[in-house]
Amino acid sequence: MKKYISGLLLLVSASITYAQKVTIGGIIKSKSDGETVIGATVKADSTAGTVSNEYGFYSLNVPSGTYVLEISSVGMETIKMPLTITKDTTINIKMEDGSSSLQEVVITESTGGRSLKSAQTSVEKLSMKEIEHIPVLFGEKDVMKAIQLLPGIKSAGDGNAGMFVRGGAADQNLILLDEAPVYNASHLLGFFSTFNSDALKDITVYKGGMPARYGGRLSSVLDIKMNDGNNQDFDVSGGVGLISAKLNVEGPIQKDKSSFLITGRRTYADMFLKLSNEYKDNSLYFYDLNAKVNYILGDKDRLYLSGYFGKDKLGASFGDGEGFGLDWGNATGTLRWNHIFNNNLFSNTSLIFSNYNYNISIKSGAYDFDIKSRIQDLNFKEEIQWYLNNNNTIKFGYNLIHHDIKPGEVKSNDLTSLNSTALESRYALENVIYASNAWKVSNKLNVEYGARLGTFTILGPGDYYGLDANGNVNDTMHYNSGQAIKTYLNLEPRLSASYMLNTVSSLKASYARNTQNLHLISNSTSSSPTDKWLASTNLIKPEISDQVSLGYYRDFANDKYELTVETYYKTMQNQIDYRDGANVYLNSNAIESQLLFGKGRAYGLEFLLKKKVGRLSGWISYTLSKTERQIDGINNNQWYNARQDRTHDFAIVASYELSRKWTLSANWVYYTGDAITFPAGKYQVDGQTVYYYTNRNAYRMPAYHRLDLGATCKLAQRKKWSSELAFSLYNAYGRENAYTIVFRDNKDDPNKTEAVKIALFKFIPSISYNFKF
Amino acid sequence: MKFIKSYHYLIAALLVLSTVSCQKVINVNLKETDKKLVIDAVLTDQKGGCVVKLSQTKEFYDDNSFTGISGAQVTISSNGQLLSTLHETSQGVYVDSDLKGNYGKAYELSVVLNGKSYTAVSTMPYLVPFDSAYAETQSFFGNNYTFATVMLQDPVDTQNNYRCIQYVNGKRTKGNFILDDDYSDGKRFESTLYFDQNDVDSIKSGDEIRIDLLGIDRPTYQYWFSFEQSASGGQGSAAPANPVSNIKGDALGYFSAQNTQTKIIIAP
Repeated sequence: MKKYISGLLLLVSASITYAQKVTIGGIIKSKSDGETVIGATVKADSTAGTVSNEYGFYSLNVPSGTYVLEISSVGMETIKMPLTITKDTTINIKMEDGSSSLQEVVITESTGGRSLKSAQTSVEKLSMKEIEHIPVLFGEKDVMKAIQLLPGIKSAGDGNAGMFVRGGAADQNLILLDEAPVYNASHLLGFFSTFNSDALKDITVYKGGMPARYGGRLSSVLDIKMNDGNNQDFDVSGGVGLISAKLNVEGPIQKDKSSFLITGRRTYADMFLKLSNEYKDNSLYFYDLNAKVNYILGDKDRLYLSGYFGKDKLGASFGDGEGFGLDWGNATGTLRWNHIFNNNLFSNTSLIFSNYNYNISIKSGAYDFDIKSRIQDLNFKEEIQWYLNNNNTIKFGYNLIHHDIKPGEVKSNDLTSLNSTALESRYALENVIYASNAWKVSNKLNVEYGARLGTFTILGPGDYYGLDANGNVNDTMHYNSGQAIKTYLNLEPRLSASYMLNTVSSLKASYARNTQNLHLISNSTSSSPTDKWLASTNLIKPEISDQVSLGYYRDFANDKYELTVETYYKTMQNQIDYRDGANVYLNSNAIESQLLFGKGRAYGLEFLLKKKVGRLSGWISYTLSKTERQIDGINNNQWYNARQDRTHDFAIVASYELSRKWTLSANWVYYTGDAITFPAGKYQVDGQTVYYYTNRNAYRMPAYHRLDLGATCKLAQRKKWSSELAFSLYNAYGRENAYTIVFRDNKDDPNKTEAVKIALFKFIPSISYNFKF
Repeated sequence: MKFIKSYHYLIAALLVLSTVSCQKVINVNLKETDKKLVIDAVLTDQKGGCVVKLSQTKEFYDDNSFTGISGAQVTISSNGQLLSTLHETSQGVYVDSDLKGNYGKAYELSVVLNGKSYTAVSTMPYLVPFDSAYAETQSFFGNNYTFATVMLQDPVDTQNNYRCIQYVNGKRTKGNFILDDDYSDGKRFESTLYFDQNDVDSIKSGDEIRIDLLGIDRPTYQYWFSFEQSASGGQGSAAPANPVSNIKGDALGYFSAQNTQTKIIIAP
C-alpha cells in the first residue's frame, strides 16, 4: 500500500516545474441569479487560459504586468477586463446572461463536456437548455431519457429504467446527485427518472476515461448537479401537465450571501382512479422533493446543504381492508464545505448520506405481513484542487464510505401463517485515495493521468459461506460485529491524452480501469424496485473493467457543427449471472449459491454530429457495437450476446425555432432489437407445455423505432411573468414496439402454441403549461 | 415466497391498466434443433400412480399432441433392489398398475433406450394431511373473482414442499401452484390458488372444484419452480432456461415420488 502511494506522488510530481508568477483566482457567478458558472473560460491576453471548476472557482498564473482578462461561457456575455497585476489577487466575477435567442449566443469552448483541447475523452455534457425541447412521454422533461439519445448510451426500452453504457449492465452506472449516489433512479417502474429537471443545473456523463475522482461502477459516471438557488431575487416557476404538476421556489435568504431552493413534483394520475368506482381504492403515484440551501461565509468559505427525497406508491385494494402495497424511494443528503486556502488551492469537503428502500405490505386471506429492504451509505469525501501553474492542475482526495445493506426482512403481523424472518444485514467499508494531474505538455498535447487506490472491507457480524462446485453450501463461517472478513485491494490507473491536429480538430486516447463492489441482482428483464443490491463477499469478487478508447474530434463551419468519432474496447471480469432456475428469495443468506461468475467484452464505434447554434439545432448519433459474455454454466460455456448487445443504435434530435413564439422539435430513434432467448422447441410434461431452450440470447427482438414530436408556444414573455404551452406526441406514427414476446398455448386450440408480441404506448399526446415569475 | 411473484402480476396489471398495451400474435422464425428425449415420470403412494411417459421435443409450430417413444426398458428400484419393470401399455407410456411408494423412501428410476441410460432419484415425502379447502370471492379492481384456498398444518422442523393441481368442472386450471415452508415452517397454511383469469374461464357459483394436493421432494419443487420462472414461455424472466431436472443423462423432464390427496368442493 505504501509503495503505491509514494508511486502515485512520484507520478504526480514528475511533470511539475516551478515558475515565479502571480496568481489570480476567484469565483465566477451569474449576475442575474448568483448561480456559480461551471466551465467558464478565463484567459489573460488570449494566451494563458483556464476554466472554472464545478464550484465556479478558477485560478490563473500570469507574470506580473498589464492584461486584458477575458471571461466567457456558453449562454453568457463575454467579459473583457483590463487589469494590472503585480501580486496574487482575488477577482470574483459576475457574468450577465446572454441574449435569449440562440442565434446570437457567443460560442465558447465548453469544458465539462466535449472539448477539442481537454484530455478528457468519452464525455457528454447536457445543460437543461439543451434538453428543453426534446419531446418526451407525458411531457415530463427528463435528463435520463435525453442522455439515452447520445451514442454509446442505450435505453433499456419502454417501461424500463435501465440504461446500458458501452455494453455495461444497468447496475454499472454511478449516478450521482450532488455527489450522493442514487441507487434507483426511476419512478413508476422506469417510465420516469427521479430527476426533476427544474431543480438541476447540468449533467455530465463519462462513458470512458473517467477522472480519478470517480469510481465504484464499471461503465459510466452520471454526475448530476442541482441548482444552488437564486441569491438575488425570488423566483417561482412551475408547470401543470397531463399527469403531474411541479413547483420550484428559490430566492435569497440574505442577498448575495445565501439562498435556498425547493422543487417539488407529484403525479396525479391516481386522482383519476379515485373518480372511477372500480379503481377508487387503488393508488399509483410518485412525488419528489429537491431542496438546497447555501451560505457564503466570507471570501474563503461556502457551505451547501442539499437533499433529495422521492417516493413511489403503488397500492391495490381487495376490499374488506385487504390489499397490497408497494412503496420505494431514495433519500440523499449532501453537506459540502468549499474552502479557498489561496488562489492556488481549493478544497471541498463533503458529508454524504444516501438511502434506498422498499416496503411491500400484503394483507390477503390468511396472509398479513410486510417485507422491508434497504441500502444505506454514509460517505466522507475530501478533495484538494491544486492549481500548481497554468500547465498543471492536481486533484487529490480521500473517500471513506460505509455501506449498510439490509437485503430483506419479513415481518408477519399475525404470526399464524408466516414466521418473521430477516436476512442477515451486510456491512462494508470502502477507503479510497486518489490523485490526478491535468498536464498541459504543450499547446498541442494535454495529458491527464492519475490513479485510485481503494480497499473494500467486508465487515461482520454475519455468516459467510463456502460452496462446492455445484453451488451447494459446504462451509459456514461465523463472524462477530466489526470483524474484518475480507479486504479487496484495487488499484485503478487512469490515463487520457489529447493532441490538437490543428485549430479545429484533435485526437484523443484514454485508458481507465474501474472496479465495482456493489452488484444489483435482478431476476427479470425489466427493472423492478425489488431488485437486490449486494456487496462483494468472500465469494462475490469485485467486478473489474478495463477500457481503452480512441477518438477524433472536429469542429466545422466556425464551430457551428461538431463531429465526435470514438471507438472503444472494454473487458470485464467477475461478471455475475444467475444459475438456471435460480431462486433469489430462497436460501438468500447464501445467495452466492444461486449465482455464476464469468467475463465480458464490449467494443464499438460511435459517431456524434451536433449543431449547437442557429434556428435549427440538435444532433445525429450512431453507434455500432458488440457486447458479449462468457460464463461457465451458461450457453455450454461459450461466448454469447449480452441482452444489451445491439448492433445498430441511431438517434436524431432536432429543434427548430420557427418564430419567437413557436419552437418545433422532433426526435427519432432506431435500434437493433435486444438479444433474447427464444425456445428451440417444446414438449409436454404433466399435461403442460414446456419450452425447450438451447442457446442463450441467440435470437433478436424486432427492431425498435419511434418518432416523437413536440411544439412549444411561448405565451407571455415579460420580465415579471412568462409562460408557455408545450405539446408533445410520443410515438407519432404508432409503431408497436415489442415490450416483450411471450409463448403460450393458443386459447381456442390448446393443441397449438403461438408467439405473442406485447407492445405498450402508441400515440401518447400530452400538453403542459409552464410558468415563471 | 411464491406470493411475491403473484403480486408482481398485480403490478404488471396496474401498469397495463395505466397504459395502452396491445397484443398481437406474430410469426417467429425459429431454427430447428436436434430432438431430445423427454421423461415425465411419477410414482405415487397409490396404486395406478406409477406412470412413466417417454417422448421427444417438438418444433415450436408442431401440435402439442403426445407422440410416445416405444422400446425402452423402464425400471424402478429402491436401495439398489429392483421393484418393477414397467410395461408399455400404449406408445411411450410405461406403467406398473400395482406399484406404490412408501413414505420417506428413496426410489430410483432407470430408462434404457437405444443403448443409452438415463437415471433419476426421488424421495417420497411423508404425508401431511390435507385438512380442508374452501372457495371464496375476492375483489380486484372492482371485479369479483372466485379462488380456492387449501388448508393444512405444516409440520415443524422438516422441509416440506407441496404442489396443487386444480380442476374446475373436470377441466384443469393452468398454472402450477407450488408451496414451500421456507418462511412458514410449522405454520397453518391457508394458501389461495391464484391463477391467471385471462386464460381460463373464471370459477362460477356452483362449479365443482377438485384440488389434488401433492407432497413433493425438493428436487421436484425445484423443477416446477424453475419451470414457472423460466420455461413456461411467460414474460419477465431475464434468462429463459430449461427447468432444473433431477434426471442424469441427456434428457429433459423429471421423476417425482410423491404422495397425493384430493378434495372436492362446490364454489359458493
